[in-house]
Amino acid sequence: MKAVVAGWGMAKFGRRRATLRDLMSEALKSLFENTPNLSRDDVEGLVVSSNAPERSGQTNLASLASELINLENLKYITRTEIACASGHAAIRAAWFAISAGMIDSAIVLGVEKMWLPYPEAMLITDMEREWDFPQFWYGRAPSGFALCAQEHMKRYGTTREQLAMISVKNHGNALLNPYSQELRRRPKSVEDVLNSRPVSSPFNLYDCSARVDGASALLIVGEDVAKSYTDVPVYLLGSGQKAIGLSLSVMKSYADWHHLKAAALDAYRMAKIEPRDIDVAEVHDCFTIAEIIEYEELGFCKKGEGGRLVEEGQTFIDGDIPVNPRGGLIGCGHPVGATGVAQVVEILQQLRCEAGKRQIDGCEIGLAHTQGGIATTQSILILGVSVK
Amino acid sequence: MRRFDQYPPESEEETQLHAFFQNLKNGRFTTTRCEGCGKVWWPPRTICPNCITSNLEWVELPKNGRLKLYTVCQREKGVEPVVLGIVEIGGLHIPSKINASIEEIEEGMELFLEIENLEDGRVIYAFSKQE
Repeated sequence: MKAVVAGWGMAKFGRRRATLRDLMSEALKSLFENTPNLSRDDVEGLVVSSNAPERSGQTNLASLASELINLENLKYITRTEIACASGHAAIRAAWFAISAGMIDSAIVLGVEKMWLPYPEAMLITDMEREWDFPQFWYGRAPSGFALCAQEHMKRYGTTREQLAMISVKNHGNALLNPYSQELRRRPKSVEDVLNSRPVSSPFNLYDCSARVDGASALLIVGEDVAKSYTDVPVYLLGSGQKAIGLSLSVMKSYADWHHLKAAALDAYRMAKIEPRDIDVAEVHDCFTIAEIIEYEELGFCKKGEGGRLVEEGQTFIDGDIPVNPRGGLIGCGHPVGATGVAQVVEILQQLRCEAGKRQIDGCEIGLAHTQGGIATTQSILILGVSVK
Repeated sequence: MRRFDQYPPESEEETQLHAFFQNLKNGRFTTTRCEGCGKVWWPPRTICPNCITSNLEWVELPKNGRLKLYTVCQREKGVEPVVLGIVEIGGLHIPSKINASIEEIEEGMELFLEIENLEDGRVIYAFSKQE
């Protein structure tokens, strides 16, 4: 059974005056409002993606979510967690359950509560906890990805300005997205990024995605029931995942993510497409360097030429290969468990021509990419309006 | 009882790798080597990831290495920046805090092991320019 993404729901990202319950309720309500024929009774699966609801002192989040919309016909319920790639793990779990014939439909719900008033929340980490975190707790992910940037700049000549262009592009795109974080000021130029306060060299503040609260939801159903919910079925066509461990020590090269390239090849092969067939991509720009390395490993350009791709404007909304029209993690904020799901919400809207001011003409195939840890876990989904 | 913090469990009651911390207290920087395949791993292990056996021995690493990559991290205004990096020792990539000033830090520089004592008796390593 082929699986179709048939509906979406979003809660506003940002520093929210809201708990996990509030955020999940908001995204679920949005999903039902946007999917008029969806009834509570239809929902057979519920997969919740959350990196660390434990920050709020809560586990068993999927059961809590089922209570919020009184799901009485559930056959499959679980939570997924592989750090920032948790959202893709949830989508894949729903897809596999539908493909296996276990269920006909599932809600995938991503949620994260990041803004909490006690410092203990910062001691819960997706970094390796016994060896890396005691050394890197002060720098955390920004410092981990900064090492990737240092090596990439040295090896391939990627410039500080090219990094900043990723930030300018994604902050600009986020202005067109009603669910992105509100910012008092957004960088409009490379100089704005370079003049923001230093965080972890070479990164300044605007090179980094912000920790925000948020939630996002998708309805995923079997092909045979999809027409009840949507006129434009968007199929899950392909996927690839790789992990090489968790510790910074396992990275042989910090500028070359060979395992991402391998995961992408698996996904392209499964979807029977090539990188040039991609009309729109949402990639994991947790930090500016990540998007540049991802261009290269996903095959949008040759290795080492990712910086030039953004410099030439090719990944802007009006470019040849638009990347992160949603605004990405840098523009929208990064509520970890909600991010991977929100990326697919964007691909769905683009493929259905519902993306408003962000709409890219003639979208038929979209790619979403996320990663967990300091690039050690990689995940790719490919979606399309027709099956090859 | 100890409070939950950023540092690891080190005692014999809490971790099977307590020998690492005991060795560190005695001034030795150690890790595990598989007696089957001969591979030296970082971080130390209780099983060899290749052979999946427990035939591991503690081996001493050199107390000096080369700074492969670094970043100067300043998360808050008005706070002294912290240097974090990857120290390469015998082909191993060891993430570590680097006790060096921004003026003297340089990729490829030689670094030396430093042992810091925490208030509760635990120890943590870092690397610095001075031997």
